[in-house]
Amino acid sequence: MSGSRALNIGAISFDHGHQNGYVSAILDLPAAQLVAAADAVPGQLNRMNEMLAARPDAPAVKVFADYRELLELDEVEAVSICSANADHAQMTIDAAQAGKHVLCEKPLCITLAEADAMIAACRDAGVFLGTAYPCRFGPVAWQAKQRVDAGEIGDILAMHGTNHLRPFTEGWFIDPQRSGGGTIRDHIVHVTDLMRWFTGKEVAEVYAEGDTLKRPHIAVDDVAILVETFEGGILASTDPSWNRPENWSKWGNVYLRLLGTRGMIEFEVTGQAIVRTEAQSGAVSSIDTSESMNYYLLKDFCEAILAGRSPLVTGEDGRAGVEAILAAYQSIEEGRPIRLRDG
Amino acid sequence: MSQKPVLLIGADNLAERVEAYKRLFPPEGIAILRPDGANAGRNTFLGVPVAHEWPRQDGGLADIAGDVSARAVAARQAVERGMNAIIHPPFGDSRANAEAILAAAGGAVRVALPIHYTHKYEAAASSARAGIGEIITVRAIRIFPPAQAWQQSLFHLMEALALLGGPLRRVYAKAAALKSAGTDTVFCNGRYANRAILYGEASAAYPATYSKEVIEVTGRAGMVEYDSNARSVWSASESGVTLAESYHRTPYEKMIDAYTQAWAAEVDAHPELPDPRPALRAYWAAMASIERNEVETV
Repeated sequence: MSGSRALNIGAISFDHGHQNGYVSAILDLPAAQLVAAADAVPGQLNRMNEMLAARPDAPAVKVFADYRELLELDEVEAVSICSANADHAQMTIDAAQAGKHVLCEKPLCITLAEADAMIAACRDAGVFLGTAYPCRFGPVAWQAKQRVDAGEIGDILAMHGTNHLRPFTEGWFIDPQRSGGGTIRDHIVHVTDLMRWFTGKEVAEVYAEGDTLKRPHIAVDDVAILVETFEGGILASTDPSWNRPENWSKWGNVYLRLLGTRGMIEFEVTGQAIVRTEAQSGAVSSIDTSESMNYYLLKDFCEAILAGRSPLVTGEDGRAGVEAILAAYQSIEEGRPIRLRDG
Repeated sequence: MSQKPVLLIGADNLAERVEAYKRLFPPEGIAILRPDGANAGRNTFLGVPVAHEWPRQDGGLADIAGDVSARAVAARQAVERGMNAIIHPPFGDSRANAEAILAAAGGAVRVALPIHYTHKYEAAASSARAGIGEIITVRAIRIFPPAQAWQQSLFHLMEALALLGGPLRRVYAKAAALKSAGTDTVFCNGRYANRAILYGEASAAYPATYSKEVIEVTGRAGMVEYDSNARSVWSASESGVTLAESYHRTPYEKMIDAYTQAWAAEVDAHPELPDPRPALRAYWAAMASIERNEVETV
């Protein structure tokens, strides 16, 4: 923690609903101050405005339709970008060239060339690039990592993870031009990042099956399963499918099971929840009872920038997720395992 | 009830098999056959006699497990003695060989398919077929302490996948020796004939205190899920014995009963008996995938 100074943050685009979670965390964080927001779609700022209205001490937030105007503000030191995936690269590069640190929503971008350009732009501008992988900051994941790092289960030998969700039926998530893909693009990155974080190893080989089966009319994949090998011969598998029923009690899950030479550990990031069922409406929902992983993601990002160090989750971590995504799509297209590096 | 001899060959799940036969057949007719001379000095085991040679009396039933490479030979020996046989898979040295063994036996040899008679799998499969729409994904995870040959664990994984989602179209499998000198873990994914995506995992590499069995079938209009770690029955005592499953009739008992009733009715292709071919074909495709690190057509 760097004294009592707060990092001035601008929120760019609310295309992805996660931006509202990040804004909520920024409003709660002593180390952060929300000073501006930008979105070309006025209605997408409604939730932020509600959050601000509910806080008597809410900061004055300057609002723009064009994010480039936000970038012109000297008081903005860092930005949180939650646009559609296809816009991540240009917005990040623009922000870096304006001297702003960047926290970019996952997946980092569409192509590896974009990832390299984003990383280079931030490096050249002397600003930090973070990737928003909040699952690392889920309390159960954090504690599991501490146990693994302490050697409790020995060296990791095998892993299985899931990141399920109810199906998307509309919006940019199912527009391949704006999303770059469906459930593989959206969901393997959380599990892949956790696996990389726990093992310190990179994905070496991927065989993927993917298709559009839950909602056959949409233009992107909505079910998939990957069998992977990580460096060191670690076996892994990931199910990122948007295959849960619409009335499932949870928004989704992020589950990981790790087998080590001396034991095993498994956890579900969203597992600490209360299930609420309403008789009249039939609505079923879950209420997360764990501490907010978004809060700790933003806390790490802000404290790192203020201390002049890189955030825990870097642009390179985001690039690794993009690499796994592209390998999975290539595997599906070519019907064979794709080797990225020696296993 | 038959007065013909019942011979159990091979140590895999022997206690469970003996118990099932004891409940279905006169105990005095049941024996454990050790034709290799092992435990030659032992006259009884698990409360039944230990025989060291095949019976001279014709007829009866042989239940064949044990050394995977010896199962097909034992089945042929049983049939030559006029016996029916339940052969625990895998057996034979290829898919073609396995199917040829069954064809040659003309219904006298049936493949043990205990997954088909395990209530949670039966219930999950029938529930999935009724009311969740077209199946789109299946996950089957079976993590248990080592109790049988890894090939047998792989077969039962394939049996589970075939029961839950139907015939497989292709499979990709990776095997590893994570904790043992030999293979103890297999991951696989692939496709069903209807394009649905499958995931299977079998492992005997986890700590003895941990087990996990997941059955998950998702459809366009719903999903069916089972997780053994959300047990309906859970008992743990200082003896270290845990009870996580409860049966009136065990899967083996139900399977043996169904098979013997079909033989008694002299029905070669009993319509209510499960077809072993989807699981056999998936198993051999998975073995080939492991061997070549390629996707294999089933």
